[in-house]
Amino acid sequence: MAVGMSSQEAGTVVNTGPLLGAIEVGKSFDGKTWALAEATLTVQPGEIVCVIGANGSGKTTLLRCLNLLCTPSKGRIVFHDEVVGDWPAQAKIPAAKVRDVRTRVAMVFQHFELFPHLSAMGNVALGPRHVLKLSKQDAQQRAMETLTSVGLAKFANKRPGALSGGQKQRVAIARALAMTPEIILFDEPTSALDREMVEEVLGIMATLAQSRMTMVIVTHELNFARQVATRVVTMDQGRVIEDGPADVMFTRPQSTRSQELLRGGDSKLWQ
Amino acid sequence: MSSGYILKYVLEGAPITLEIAAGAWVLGTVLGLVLALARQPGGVLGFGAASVITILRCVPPLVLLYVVFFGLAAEGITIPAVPAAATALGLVEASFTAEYFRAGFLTVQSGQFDAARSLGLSRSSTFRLVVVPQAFIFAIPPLLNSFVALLKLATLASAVGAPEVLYRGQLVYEQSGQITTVVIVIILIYLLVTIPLTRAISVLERKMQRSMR
Repeated sequence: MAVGMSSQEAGTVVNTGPLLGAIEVGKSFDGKTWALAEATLTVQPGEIVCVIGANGSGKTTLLRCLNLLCTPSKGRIVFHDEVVGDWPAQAKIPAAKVRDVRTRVAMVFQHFELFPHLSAMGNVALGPRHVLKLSKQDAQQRAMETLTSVGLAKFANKRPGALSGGQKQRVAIARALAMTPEIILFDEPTSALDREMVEEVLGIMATLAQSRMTMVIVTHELNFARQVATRVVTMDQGRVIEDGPADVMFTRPQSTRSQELLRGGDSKLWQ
Repeated sequence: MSSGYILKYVLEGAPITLEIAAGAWVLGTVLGLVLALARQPGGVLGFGAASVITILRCVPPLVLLYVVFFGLAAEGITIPAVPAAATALGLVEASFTAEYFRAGFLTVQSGQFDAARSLGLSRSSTFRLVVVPQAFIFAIPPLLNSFVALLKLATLASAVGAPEVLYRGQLVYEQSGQITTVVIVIILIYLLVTIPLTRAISVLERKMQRSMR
C-alpha cells in the first residue's frame, strides 16, 4: 500500500459517529494520582487530530488507552460506535477483541520500537504475515510496496541497527501502514530525532495527511500541526483543556493554557 | 601396555562423551526454554516451573543420574546408560538454561512488547516471533559455554557404566596399572576438545554481536 492511500477521498470527512474515541477516560498507575483524568477524545474518519501538551500532561497515556496498550482505570473506549471497554464495570476485554482493535488501529512510537533481529522488510512484513495471515510472498510484496512508498526500498534488507533515526521511524510508519489500518496513532514520532531527520519523517506524515488518512498525532511540532491538523486538542495535567478546529485553535484559543501551549517554542506560529 | 594403546583405547570413549553432552545440551536447552516461558509473568504454570527449577538446581547431578538409571529401573523402566546420563544431565542443565533464557527475556525492552501487541500479535506469537529470538541472542554465549561444562560433567556417566572417556580410562587402568599415563591421556583428550571449542565459541559470539548491530 502506498503512502497516501486511504479509504477516504481527499477533503471529505464523513461524520458517521466516532471511528475511535476515549470517553471520560482516567488512568492511575499507583491508585493515588491520575496520569489521565476523565479525558475525552473522539476521532471521526478522515480527521487529523493533533494533541498538544507539555511532558507529563497525559498525551501518551491517552494514546496508549486508545490502542488498548494501557487499560484505563475508568471510562470507555469506543471503536466504530461500539463500546469496546467500559471501566471499571468491565474489567477485562476478550483477547480476540483487543487484537482486532489493535490490528485496525496502528501505532507509531516515539522510540521506533523496531524489532532489532529482523530486517526492515521483516519488520514490515511481520504483521501482514502473522496477523493478517497473508502468504509469505504476499506479505513480503506488501512490505516492499510500503517500504517503497516511504522511500526505503533499497534498505529493505538492512537491520534497524544499520539505519539512521529518520529511516527507522519511516520503517516504523511503513510497518503501521502495511497493516492497512483505519487510523494511525503517532506518539511524538519526531521527538527522538535530530532536526534534519525530523523533516524526512514529517514529509511522510504530511503525505499521509494529504490523503486524509485518519490520524491522531501527539506532537510538539506546532508548525507541522498547523499545516496538517483538522482538529487540535490541548492537554494539561491529565485533562483535555480545549478541543477545536485547527484554524480556531491556532488563531483564537480560549484558555490561557492553550494559548501558552500553542505559542510554546514556536515564535513563527504567531507572526 | 604402550601409551599409544592406552590413548587409542580411551579415545574410543570420546564419541560417547560427545553423545551424552550433546543429548543433555539439546534436552536442557529445549526444556529450559519451556520452563523460562512458563515462569513469565502471566504464565499459567509459573509456580510449578519455579519449583521444578529449584529442585533440579539443588539435587546433585550424580544423585539425579542414579534416580534416572537405578530408580526408574527399580520401577520397571529400564533406560540404557548413555540416554540415562544424557537425560539426567539434561534435566540439571535445564534448570540453569531456564535462568539464561529468563535473563534474556529481561533484556527485551517493554517497548518491543508494545510494538508487537500494537500490531495485533497474540501473547504466544509475541514471544515466538519477537521476544524469544532476541532473548536467544543473549542466551547463546552461556548456552555454548554450558556445552563445554556438560562435556566435563559427562564423566559422571562412568558411574552407571556408560563407556565414555573416563569409564574406558578406568578399564584400561585396571588392565595396565598405569594411572599416571591414563590420567594424562584423559586430560589431553579433554584439552584437545575443549580448547578449540571455547575458541570457536568466542569467535561465534563476536560474529553474532556484530550481526545484531
